[in-house]
Amino acid sequence: MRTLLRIDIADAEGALMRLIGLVERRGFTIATLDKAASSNGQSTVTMSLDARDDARNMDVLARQVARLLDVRGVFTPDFEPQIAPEIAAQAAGTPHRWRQACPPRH
Amino acid sequence: MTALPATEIDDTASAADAAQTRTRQTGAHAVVRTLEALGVTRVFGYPGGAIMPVYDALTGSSLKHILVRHEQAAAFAADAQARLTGKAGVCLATSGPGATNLLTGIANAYLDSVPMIILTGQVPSGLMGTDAFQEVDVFGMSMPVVKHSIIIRDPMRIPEMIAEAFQIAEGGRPGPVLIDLPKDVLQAEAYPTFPPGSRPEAGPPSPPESDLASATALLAQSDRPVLYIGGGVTLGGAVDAVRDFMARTGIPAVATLKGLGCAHPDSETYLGMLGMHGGRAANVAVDESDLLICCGARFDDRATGRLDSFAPGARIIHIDGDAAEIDKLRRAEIGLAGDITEILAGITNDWLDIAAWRDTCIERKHRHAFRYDAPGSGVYAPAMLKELSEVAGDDFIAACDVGQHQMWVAQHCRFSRPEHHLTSAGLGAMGYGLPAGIGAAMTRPDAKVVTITGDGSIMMNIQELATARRYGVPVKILLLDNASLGLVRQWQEYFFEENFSEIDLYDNPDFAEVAHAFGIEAFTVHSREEVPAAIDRLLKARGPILAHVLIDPRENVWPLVPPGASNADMMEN
Repeated sequence: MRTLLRIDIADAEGALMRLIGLVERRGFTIATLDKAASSNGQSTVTMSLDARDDARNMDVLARQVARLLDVRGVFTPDFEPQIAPEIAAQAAGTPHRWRQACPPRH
Repeated sequence: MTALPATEIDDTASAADAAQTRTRQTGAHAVVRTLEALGVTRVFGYPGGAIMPVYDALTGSSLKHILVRHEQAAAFAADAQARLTGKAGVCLATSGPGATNLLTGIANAYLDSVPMIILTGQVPSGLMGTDAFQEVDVFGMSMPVVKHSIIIRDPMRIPEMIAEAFQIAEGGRPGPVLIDLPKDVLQAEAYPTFPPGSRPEAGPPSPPESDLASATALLAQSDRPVLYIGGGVTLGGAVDAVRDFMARTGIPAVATLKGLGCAHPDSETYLGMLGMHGGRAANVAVDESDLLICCGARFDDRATGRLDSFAPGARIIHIDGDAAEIDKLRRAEIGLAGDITEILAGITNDWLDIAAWRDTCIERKHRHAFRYDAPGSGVYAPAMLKELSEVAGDDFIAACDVGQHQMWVAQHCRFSRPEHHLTSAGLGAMGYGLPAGIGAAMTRPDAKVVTITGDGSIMMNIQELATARRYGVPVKILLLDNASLGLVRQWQEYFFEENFSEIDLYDNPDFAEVAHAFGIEAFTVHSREEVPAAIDRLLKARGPILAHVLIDPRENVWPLVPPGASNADMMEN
């Protein structure tokens, strides 16, 4: 099932590579990926993801992403997740439609 | 690691000493001074081109550099020191092959959540990305197996970034942090100052009272609870809390490989290790349980066997310092992320009535206790290991390699504390034992540190006998030699129709003679009657010593859960 994840990430060397690597390694394929321009030392990445098998759990992935030192926030959608990628990209700009998946680490 | 003092870097005594011979300070000096200021006293490493400025700056430093003979050993030795102290171990290598040789040790630390700082030299910034001599992207290569990594590009930020790396490595769930150091940054003139404070890593918030109440209610409904203890208990500093919880509730407990030593070894309700080579009492208790209280464990496949048949009738309370472990492999009725000591204290057991269940578990534990009356006159390795750990007492520290001997140690040795059992649990890296023993014996020269290895494993890092000799490290090496790759042989015997493929090590060298060639005391044990004297000689040696023990190649590790099977379907001898 396709689902969305929004991540606020610090502008640090390797941060994006680390994020993408973790998502792939933990059993999800990235169907679409949108990275907004940097602002105040961080940027927002929105991904639509497909789990490779039924055992993969998006809540667990969100907590694993939140463990990354460069991640400032992890959010899951407050709307129907099976939407087209272009809508996902638009949704990234509407913070009120996302809920925090786990508390910030720092 | 404490916060750095708000002081000029040149204020250190060693910096003043260095200033007598040279006044120019570089990024490399900043690296060394920062490590000194952070309280580091020992680094394990191997020099080479890109890291040479740091080696130059080490001259006159209070840091003790331990020259290993392979970078992998530097990581393993630093790992052992970290497990014993809870503080980050430090290892150092050059770019390219030096860095890639560290990767196995980094992965080992990552999978076992060991705090470690890895300093790697890198080609100069302008050459990065050009396939320069000895250039590899270790920053990228190591990403899946580090907690974090950084490339320091500004020499003025060296103290701040290294200090932060230590906080990251040691904070929360510990892990390795790699710091890549381009050569031009190390050579640049730099007079940085230390940052005034630190930013401690926040752990997960305490679970709400309502969740603790739910856990208490679930426990009250249980007739057959089992406590399932993992390495997270040690990481969370909750060993005493677990022991108190066991004593207060009387709940039978089992442990993972990394959880060994958390329960008091003499506790009546401690049933031993569970999983692939766990005891029958432990595996059956889990299989029959109606409530599994998972405490700092992660439902690893070596512990669970076939996951969908693991504790099939049990509801789950999962307690962990790392919220990301909750629900990862087994859905928990109640997930409690936070401080394990606080959580256990918050679960009350006023209505718990499990006397019959406890008695059943204890009776089964006695009925299925390991036997040591193997026939014949040859050395029976499980009996020798049991005797060794009992004679050595509470100061016994085992640095295991990987193979049958590793499982025998887990089954038969007595550990008074979990940090006294050094083992490559998550990665299962052959070659860990000797360098880990060296790191442990340097850290705890007062203890009885024994590397327990096999004839396969020791050959992975046998060159470190030279390190043991050079520094007079009081590591005792017990080498169990069955002239084969025993655990692979065992699996080929039972699961590959006795097709013994590439496991025969008939042409091993005479290991006692090898040790002698390195200048190390060594002797060979051929029969069971020689064992008591051999143990006595090992434990009384002041310097490095190797006991080469010949054992029966047909000896196997029992019990054994076949691949893909439930823990309840264990094979026994």
